[in-house]
Amino acid sequence: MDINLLFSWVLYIIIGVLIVLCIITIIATFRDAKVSQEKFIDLREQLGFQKLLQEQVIQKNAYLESYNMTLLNKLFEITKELFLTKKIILEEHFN
Amino acid sequence: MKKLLFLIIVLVVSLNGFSQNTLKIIDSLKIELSKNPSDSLKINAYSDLCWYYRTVSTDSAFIYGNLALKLSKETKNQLGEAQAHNDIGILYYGLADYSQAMQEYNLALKIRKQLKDTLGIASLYNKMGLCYQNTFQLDSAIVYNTKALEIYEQKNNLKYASALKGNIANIYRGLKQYDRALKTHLEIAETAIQIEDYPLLTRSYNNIANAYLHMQDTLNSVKYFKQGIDVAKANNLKNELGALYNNYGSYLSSTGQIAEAIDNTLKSLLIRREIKDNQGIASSSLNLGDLYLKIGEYKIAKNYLDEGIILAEQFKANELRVSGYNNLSYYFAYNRNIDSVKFYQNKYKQIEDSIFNNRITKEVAEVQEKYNANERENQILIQRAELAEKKRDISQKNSFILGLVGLAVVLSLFGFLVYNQQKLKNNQLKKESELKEALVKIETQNKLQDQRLRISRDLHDNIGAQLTFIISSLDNLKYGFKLPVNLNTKLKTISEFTSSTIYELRDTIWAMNKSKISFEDLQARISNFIEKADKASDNIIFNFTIDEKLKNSKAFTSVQGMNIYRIIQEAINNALKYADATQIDVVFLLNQDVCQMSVTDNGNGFDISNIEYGNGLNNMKKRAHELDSEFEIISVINKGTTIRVYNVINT
Repeated sequence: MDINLLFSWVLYIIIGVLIVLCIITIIATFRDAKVSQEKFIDLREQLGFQKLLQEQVIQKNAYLESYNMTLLNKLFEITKELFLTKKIILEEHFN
Repeated sequence: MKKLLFLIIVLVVSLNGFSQNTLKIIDSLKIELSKNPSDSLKINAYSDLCWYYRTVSTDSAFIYGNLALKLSKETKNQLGEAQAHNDIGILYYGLADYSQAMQEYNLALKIRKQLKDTLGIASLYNKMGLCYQNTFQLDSAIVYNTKALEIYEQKNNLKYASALKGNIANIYRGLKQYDRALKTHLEIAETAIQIEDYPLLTRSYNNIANAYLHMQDTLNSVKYFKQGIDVAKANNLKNELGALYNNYGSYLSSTGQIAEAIDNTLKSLLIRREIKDNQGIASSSLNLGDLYLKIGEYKIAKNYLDEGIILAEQFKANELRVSGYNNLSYYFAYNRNIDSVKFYQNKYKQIEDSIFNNRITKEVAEVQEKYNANERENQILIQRAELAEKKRDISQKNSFILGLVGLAVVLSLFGFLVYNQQKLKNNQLKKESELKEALVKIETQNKLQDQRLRISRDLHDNIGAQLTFIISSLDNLKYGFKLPVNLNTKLKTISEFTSSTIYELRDTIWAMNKSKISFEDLQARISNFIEKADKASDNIIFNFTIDEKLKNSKAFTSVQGMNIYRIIQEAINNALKYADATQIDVVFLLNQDVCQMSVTDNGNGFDISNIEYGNGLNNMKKRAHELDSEFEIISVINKGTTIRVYNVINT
């Protein structure tokens, strides 16, 4: 067989293989882009949800902080009143 | 006017050229020349004189031809110059000086090519073909005739094209390529039928029949002879009919059908006599002489032979003369006239030798031509092979270069694609890791906040239980011991305060345990509260209305829900405690983009400008602002009060 012809054949086969590889790479790139886009969207949704959750919890904690102060004041008031009542009862008893 | 008159005369002369006497035409042309016409008309007249003198006096023809050429050159009339070269070429051709004729034709061809006179070029190719044919350069003759044929076919001039095909077919016959000659004659016959040229058709049938005879296909030969005779009879073509009868007679004679051969040859002779075709008469008479000799009718044969010989001598038709003298020697041999036999045999031999010599010369030339043609063909084949090899090499190189370029392009593309893919992957991984990191961070923070919430919840549960215990202990103390009135009142106040703290705590725990508070949740909780309030005041009517559009819209966060709940609770408490209201309406509405909540009572109302905001009203305002909403109080004395919070949903 003519060596030139053989060389030409090999050359065109290499070109063919490379073209196939190019096509495979393009398809793989598109697939990867799609998969990572989906992952990215999923992660962003999760992050959004967690942020919302965080906001709510922070709000709740802030509210509770102020409410706890009010509650402690009320408890103090009740305790104070109970002590006064106890004092009145003891005074009544010993007098 | 003079020019026009001259043109008309020339036209009339040329149209009737074949019917008029040539000398008369020459005289009329000379008269016109004596009138001193324009140069272009003079050139035409010289050309015509050259043409007509051709058959009368060759020298005079040359003189007029050269005059036409000289005048054309002087006046730079290229058309006339080409025509003059053409006419002079014809004169040389007539003198059998083919090389000179070719020179003239080439000069004419050069000018006509410049003028793009395609029909003139075709005519010259035809004449050059004839020159080559006569010098036995038959392949060149075919080439030039074919060139002329192509032009006539392009111009759709089927008549001239057929005539050229006839020439080519005759060359093939000369080369003994009868199959090609036959094919060409069949094509001509087809064209003749197409253009309805019956003389051409009969001549073609005659040629086809002769070609079949050469190929020894007698059946087809007879068929075409008969077809030709029928067409010639139908169209009254006497010239062609005479030739066909004569040829058919010759064929019958060669197959031994003497009586039928005599019959056909006689018909031919009579027709030829009628149209005064002397050469034809010579041929038919000599054929008849031969036929009558064969059947022993010597006297009749002698008459026909004499008539034929005289005419053959007149036209120097050697083939006919040979046949005639041979038959006459036979006739005198039958009559035992030895001298005459010797005389005619000598004549016969002389002419036959000359014919033989001609034939030998012709055949030698043919063989030479064939050898040259073979040599040329071999050279052409070698050159073609070399060219094909070079072409193959170039195409291989081109394909190789193309392949390399293609490989470079595809490799670059592949590299770019792989690089692009990796770059995209890296970007995606980076983004993904950033997001994951942020997510982990926020999840950790949420867990911490959740822990704080849980601790608060545990603390509230514990406090709730202790407060319940305090209430229970206070109740036991109240009912178990007889206490003074002031002490009882004190204990009642403490118990009520503790109860309200527990309710508040429960509401807070309810709200904090929920991640979202919907309108349904809010409605249930407020209904629960209203139910308790309703027990305290039996005559009060409570209405709770939610716009249908709002029911399905978004829910509140627990803090927002708690704030709304507290505003409603405070408004109802105020209505019950201070306004003596009999009807309280809680309404949630959505008007376009504005969402509003209102609590309306039909109580005493108050003058807004004369009151100071206490804790209750201030708390409501503060909570409304925490909801990023506007707070509004509308009150009319003795009509009632409306508390309005709007733009809640947008927050």
